[in-house]
Amino acid sequence: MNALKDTAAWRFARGIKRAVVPPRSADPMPAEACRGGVIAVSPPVALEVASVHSWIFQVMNQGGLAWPSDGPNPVQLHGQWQTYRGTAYGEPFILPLPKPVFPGEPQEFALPVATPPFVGDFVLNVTLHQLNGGPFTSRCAETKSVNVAVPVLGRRAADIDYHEVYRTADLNQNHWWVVGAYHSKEQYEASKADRRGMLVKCGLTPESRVLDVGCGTGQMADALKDYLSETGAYYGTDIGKEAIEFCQQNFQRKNFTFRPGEMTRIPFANDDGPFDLAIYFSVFTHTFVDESALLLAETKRLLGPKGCIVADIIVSDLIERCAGNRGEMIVNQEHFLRLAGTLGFESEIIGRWPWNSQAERLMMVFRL
Amino acid sequence: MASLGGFVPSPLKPLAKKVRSAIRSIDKASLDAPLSEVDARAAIRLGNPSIVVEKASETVSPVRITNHGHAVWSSAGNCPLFVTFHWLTARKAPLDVPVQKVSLPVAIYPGEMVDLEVSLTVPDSLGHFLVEIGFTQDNGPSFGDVTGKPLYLEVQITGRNVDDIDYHKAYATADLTQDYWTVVGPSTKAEFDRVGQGKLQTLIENGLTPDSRVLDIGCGTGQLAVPLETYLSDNGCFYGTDIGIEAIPFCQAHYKRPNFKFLQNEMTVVPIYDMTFDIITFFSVFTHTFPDETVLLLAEAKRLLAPNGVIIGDVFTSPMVERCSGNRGAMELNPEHFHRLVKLAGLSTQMIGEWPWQKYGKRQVFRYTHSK
Repeated sequence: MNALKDTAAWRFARGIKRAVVPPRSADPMPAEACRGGVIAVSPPVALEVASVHSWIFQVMNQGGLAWPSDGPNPVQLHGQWQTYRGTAYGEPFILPLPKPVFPGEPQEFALPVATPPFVGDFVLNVTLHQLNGGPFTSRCAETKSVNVAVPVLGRRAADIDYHEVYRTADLNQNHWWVVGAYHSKEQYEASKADRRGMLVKCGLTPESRVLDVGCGTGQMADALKDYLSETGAYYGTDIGKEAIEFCQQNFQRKNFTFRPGEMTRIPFANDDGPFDLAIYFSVFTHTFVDESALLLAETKRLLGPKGCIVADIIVSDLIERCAGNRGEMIVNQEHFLRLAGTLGFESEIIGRWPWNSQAERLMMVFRL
Repeated sequence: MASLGGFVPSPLKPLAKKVRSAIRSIDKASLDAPLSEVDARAAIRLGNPSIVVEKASETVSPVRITNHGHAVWSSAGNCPLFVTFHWLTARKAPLDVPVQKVSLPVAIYPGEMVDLEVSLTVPDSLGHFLVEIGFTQDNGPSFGDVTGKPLYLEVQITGRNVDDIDYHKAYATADLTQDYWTVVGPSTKAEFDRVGQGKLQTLIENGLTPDSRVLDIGCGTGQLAVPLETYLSDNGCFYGTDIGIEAIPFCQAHYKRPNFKFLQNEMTVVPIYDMTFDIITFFSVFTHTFPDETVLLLAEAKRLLAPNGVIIGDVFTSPMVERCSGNRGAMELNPEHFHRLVKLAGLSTQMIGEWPWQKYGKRQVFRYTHSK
């Protein structure tokens, strides 16, 4: 009988029979028919936020009955995104089986699954169900479901090559646009006082020595150029060479210095310090946490004993350590603060704004 | 035919397209002469490729090609044209991976655009790479994008998903009463014991005495506890910690000397607060943690290290990696980046051992001491 089953003729006849009379179950199947499992074949190592990925699931039927894909009680895959802490994220969703699955004949299905619309460390959980019968795992202990941990990253198209941005921008026409948050030159000008006011709250005086890392086209230099006295000083650095040239031409006070830096190095000697205030506006929102830690270590070298760092970060509970790309980096708040703590920094939150429905932007002060 | 497109009244365009494709199906376009300079003009655009790919896999890269020359391009004939994919390091040095030549699936007529889904073979090395995309013609020119700027696809290669480790699951599914060596790596008990003896030797060379206080972070099923059980005196002590909750009762049941203690740690927190140690070991820990986690673990070790104490820990380094690449199965770090991060934790390093790891990497063992 088994030898007969291996022949092409048998399989042909079986195929016709299955096409004409596909399996149906009038009632939910008995528990012993729910033995089997689902595994993910070559699951993705990372996914882009809000994308749709075609996952490949292998479904194995190790029970005695064919699993119908149609009819009143079809067998289905149920998907559920979870956070890295194991809590459900979003609504569960149904992935219908495109074809019935027969005992002893594992089948691979490519099924599209929508990736969560937020960056984070997620787990996709997929289980077998029968409509009106419930989850297989609760009915048959040996049935296997699948959990795939997959980091959800920012879109590649939203990633930033900062050097490219500066090379292609016309800084004389729109130096406010290249640094991001402003819609118009008017808005850029109006917010100058706000930016300065926040620093005054952190101890800025006209005599302060200020270090501005990621100075861009000088949004802080502009706010400070008429504020700092001759005894104060401003040192700006940026990885964008063009930004530094722009600043050198536009802010020509004797005590204003601009120099190009590297991703995790500040191009000023210890003798240029100590600084009273170090500014990181929209820097740690674009660097990986280990890079942020190296930048904080560089700043520690240049900071006076009573000095402080003002920096913004984006935090989300969906993230175990950090997730995103240079376009937008989101961190786990506790993880970030522990890294800062390793360097001896104590932190204080001085402002917070919603970033999206899952994340907040925090303005932080770090003190030694 | 393409140049006539503008003269065909719009209701007839679908018909014209059909006629055109019928003609093209009969007239098999082929390239039999080298392309001249004006015909070797292409616009290459990237679609939306994968953001991170697995090593030694195939990845589909969408590429859009426009023929800005006057000749038909084809991969048939005496001088066929191919799209080339050339793997480079992040610093644009060539990689010893053969250039991948891909045939055009259809002829590309002047002024027309074709979207290709190219299956790229990913090298078997972790890291950050560039793939330069261009054209090469047999017996003809090689050329790139018409702008003259080389077109690069950025690719980060990480470990294979199936090689990733869920450490908790590894312990939860292992039967430690039958086999306690496979879960920490060695395939036999003899190998487990031999590696344990090697670790003991390394520690003796780095100042271990029978009276030492030893902390073994990531102790697993006790590969180091075995040799130290006979080596340490009653004045010394051994603390083992591991994130695997099953490993702890196993060790407690097997290594019962009163000065041997075992407790669970979190990924980056070691819950010991009232004592310091002469020797702290991280064997095969940083080879599985992300660099920011490694910093936090080293900071914990520094907190627990006696003034003249020594930390021993191994790491995979590779010049192909910009910062870090890999997963919990194997993590590779850029060597310079790693050293700056160690310094950040307030420690100095000295290398005490080095072996080749994969094609470009090294497994390096360091001793770390308080920075002076």
